[in-house]
Amino acid sequence: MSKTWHLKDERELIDGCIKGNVKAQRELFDRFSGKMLGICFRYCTNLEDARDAMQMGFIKTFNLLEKFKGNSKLETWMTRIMINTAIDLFKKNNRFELYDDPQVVNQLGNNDEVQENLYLDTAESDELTEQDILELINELPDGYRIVFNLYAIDGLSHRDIAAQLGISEGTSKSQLARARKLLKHKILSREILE
Amino acid sequence: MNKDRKHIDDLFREKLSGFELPTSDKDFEAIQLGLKQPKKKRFFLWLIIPALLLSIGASRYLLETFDAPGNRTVHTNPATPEDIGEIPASDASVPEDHELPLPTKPAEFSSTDLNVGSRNASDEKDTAPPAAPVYSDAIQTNEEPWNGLITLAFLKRLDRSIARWPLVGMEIPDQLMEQEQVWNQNPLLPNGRNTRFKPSVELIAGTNLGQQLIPPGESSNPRYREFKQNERTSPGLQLGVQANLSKMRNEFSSGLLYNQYRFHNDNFTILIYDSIPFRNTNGDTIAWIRRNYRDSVYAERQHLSYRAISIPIQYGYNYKIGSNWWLGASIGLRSSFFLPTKGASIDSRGSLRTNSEINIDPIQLNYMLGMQLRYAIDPAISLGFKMQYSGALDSQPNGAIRINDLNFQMNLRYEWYHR
Repeated sequence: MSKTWHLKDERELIDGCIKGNVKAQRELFDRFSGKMLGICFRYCTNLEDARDAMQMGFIKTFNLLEKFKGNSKLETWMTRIMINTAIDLFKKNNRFELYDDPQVVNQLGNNDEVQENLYLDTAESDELTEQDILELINELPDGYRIVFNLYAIDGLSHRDIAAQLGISEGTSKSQLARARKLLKHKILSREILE
Repeated sequence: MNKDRKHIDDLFREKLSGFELPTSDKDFEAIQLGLKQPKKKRFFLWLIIPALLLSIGASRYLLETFDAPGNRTVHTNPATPEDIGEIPASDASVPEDHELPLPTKPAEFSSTDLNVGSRNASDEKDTAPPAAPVYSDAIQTNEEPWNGLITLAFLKRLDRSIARWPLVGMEIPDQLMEQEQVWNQNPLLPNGRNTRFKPSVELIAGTNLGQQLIPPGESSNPRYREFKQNERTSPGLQLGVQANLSKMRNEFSSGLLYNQYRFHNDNFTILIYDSIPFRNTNGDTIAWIRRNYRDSVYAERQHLSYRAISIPIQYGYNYKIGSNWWLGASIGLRSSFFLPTKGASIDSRGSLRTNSEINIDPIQLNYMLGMQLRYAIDPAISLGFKMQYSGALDSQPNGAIRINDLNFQMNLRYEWYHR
């Protein structure tokens, strides 16, 4: 009788994957692959690269699963692997250099946010669909997109981002500020056009 | 903050919190393929181990041939009349005590055999240690002296003055030692001072068989891995010069080597795919979704050459296994600087590129293990054959290809020989 994994808890699924059980690996893949591909897609410039990053991320996940201690949720742990893999792949395939914007850094001072209005009316924001949001992110320059993804959506600190990308914290802050400003400008422009 | 307003970060986070994209069975198959990649082959290791065993066996055989009975006489009793006659004039001052027979084990040992009454113990109680017991019936003999528990054979093994071959533990015949001493004399030093380093230079020519190490980061791209794994090694070229400093059997070497590694790819398969657009509500294409794989085989033979300049640093240990033969082992490190290489490759999107730059690690550090057989044509000139394995030492931080290789070298050596 074949073993079904759908009713098993996460720990049992992890143990199955560590033992190399293909059904367990398939179950893990089915559970998380869609979301992980979505995450990779936010960091890569196209779906092909995102798919490659997702596949590489899953291979790393299966190989490193023995080291997963369960201090965090499996999904959170996998998300971090996917982000790292996607960024590595992006950096490998693209020339990727980020610089401080002195004007923005001066404005920022010790604060993380430029002192300007970063709030949108709920009515305005509710009209935006998931695809609109993706399109807005994909239209951002590479540095803006990656830093905004890491900070605003995936919740990394500027220190972590700086370590991840090999840049200074000031650069991370300036990229984020410019990304927010550009995004808000794009959203408002879109509303005016519509 | 106003409840009707939303921070831009929160807006994006909420909208994308459940964002997913469809995946396919092909993705899972690619992952399985990546997981099932065979581990690093131990092919070269299986070549090295038999070679080492064969060499040790051969050296043992040769040594036994040279160490025939009668070459060396071990005198357990130097006081025999024949030996006294052979003592050179310079040794005439040897104290007479040395001519006393060594104590030997009596046939039957008992307390009555001890003679302790010849001295007055009370006279010398505070001025001298008690006299050692001697056997009353000790006789002069050439047999091994008995010393209780430790045999003379064992003591001989501890005797550093007797030259022995490492590993096999056999004594080195005198004539070989003499030859080795003479051959290792440094011409730059006064006669007889042969304990200093002796210089030599050699020209190296050989061939190599390379092995590409495809980094783990590439393993998830099955097209790339398939392409690289279909590449087979061809004998490459190795040229170089090397300088050595020898002190008896020890040798330190460094030099400059040019390596050319050659690979070819007779045929390989790449996967061609169709894509469908992923559009937003305005009809703009924002991404392409891959589907409908089909196979396509290219039969064209592809050639690829990597070129590198290497700087090796080695330590060697050489045995003199005959009047003209040396057998040696070496260990070392090698830094290689690879020149940019262009060739056929598969890019990350699965496209065939016929003239793109290969992603190879430009600076590689390798360890080296080698064995060498050398024949002396003349006291100053010798010809060597060396087999050497070189393995990648450090990790592959940038996901670039690295090279292991097996070298077969011929070298011509000139030594500064003391004439």
